[in-house]
Amino acid sequence: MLALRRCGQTSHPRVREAVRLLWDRVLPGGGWNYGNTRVLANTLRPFPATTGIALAALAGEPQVPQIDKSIAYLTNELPRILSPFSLAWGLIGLAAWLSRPPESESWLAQCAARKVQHQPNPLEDALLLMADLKSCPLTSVPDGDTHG
Amino acid sequence: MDDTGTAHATCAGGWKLSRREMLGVGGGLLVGGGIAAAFRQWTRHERGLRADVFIGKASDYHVDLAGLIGEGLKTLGITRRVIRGKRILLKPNLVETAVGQSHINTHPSVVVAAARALRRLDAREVIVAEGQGHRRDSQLVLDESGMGQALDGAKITFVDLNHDELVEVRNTGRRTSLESLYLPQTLLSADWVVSIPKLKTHHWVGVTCAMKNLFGVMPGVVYGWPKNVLHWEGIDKAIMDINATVKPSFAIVDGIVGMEGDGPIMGSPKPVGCVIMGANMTAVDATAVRVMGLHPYGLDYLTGASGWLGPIHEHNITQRGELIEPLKTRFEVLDVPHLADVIEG
Repeated sequence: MLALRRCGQTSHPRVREAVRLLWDRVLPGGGWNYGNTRVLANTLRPFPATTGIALAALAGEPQVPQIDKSIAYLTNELPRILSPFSLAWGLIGLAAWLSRPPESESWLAQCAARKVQHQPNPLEDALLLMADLKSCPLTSVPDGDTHG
Repeated sequence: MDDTGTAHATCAGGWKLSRREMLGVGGGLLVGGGIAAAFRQWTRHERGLRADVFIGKASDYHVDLAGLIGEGLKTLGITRRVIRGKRILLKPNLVETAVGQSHINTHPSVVVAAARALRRLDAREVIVAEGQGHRRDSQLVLDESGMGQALDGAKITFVDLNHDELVEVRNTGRRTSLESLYLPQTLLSADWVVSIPKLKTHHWVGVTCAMKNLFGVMPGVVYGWPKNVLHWEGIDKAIMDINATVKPSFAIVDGIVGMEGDGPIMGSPKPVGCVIMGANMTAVDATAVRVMGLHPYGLDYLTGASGWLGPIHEHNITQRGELIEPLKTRFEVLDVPHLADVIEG
């Protein structure tokens, strides 16, 4: 979905299908788990990375209340997260909805400083670099949607 | 044999079946795993398999857990001679995290204590490894569970099994349709694999303990999150396949505070105050289920493993340390039809 959008295929049937799937799987209180919203008796918990990815994928869609709830969830969660994968995807998701808080610069700096102590991880490095960009190449859609 | 030359099997419930009657129901036994399990329960016959299980009391996570685990190892015959020079992989249950829900995962104190006890027996290396079932971000789970800090403090390396190098091996269980399993190289290179689960109910299979905990060695990059391929194959069958193929060496169950109700992630804390240990996973799990006040013969993966991967009948398990009865604490289980046998037996 992110790749098709990046190619300007926002109206492609598979993108529209993916949008419907994501709306179907958004949690009542905002955010996304991995798939289901409920298992037997309980509603599942949202996660920062999956919520960030879903928000990034939905960039450009109408800003319905579920989006606002999901942004609120991430805004509340991210300040305490130092893990590169979740922090980066969370910020990419917030940036897609122009909701990245100014404090995020210091969160990224803290995360990067801590990361130096760990094993090298190219995926995490790439995600942190993307999260640090003012305009994320994953979510910025080029002009001239080709309409599938 | 009776005086007519007919062999009888006397069942625990006092029933007697002649050989002819047994043959008559033979087809049913083949068809119905439940009937076969009931038969094994009545006859106590588990192909001669026996195992020892140790239960130790631990009122909370501040007691000398390394000492307790050391005592359990000694009682079960796991001496320095067995452990010296071995590379040991500890597999805790790290599923996901939520604020104030520390009972979801194996407590870090139990994992560190196990490492200390095994280091005292001259293990060459002790590492901790897990492939989280519900999250791709291992670092976040390590941070939020407190496991990362505890492992750093004890200088224990953590390996993310979801993203390890993979080796395809033959599925020796074949209860699922999978002919082979992809396992992490780190797991296969360990001399000893120790399952360190949390004592919890499970909303699909009834109880998750030493055997189910090994779902976490299956790499997410192959089986998805939450190991969807294995769920579709059937959780009970997958549990048996993984255990038959991985052949774990030992289990140390964190039963100090367990989880009841909608486990393995949404349930409530359940203090029990014990650690359960043993070299046979099925015997450890059957004992754990009894401590939870539930019925081992109500769990499909335990009845399936009975007489194959190990014993589950009390008669075939030698209890060491504390007795089950004084520690027995009834765990609430979701009131759903597929778990009725776990509650009622």
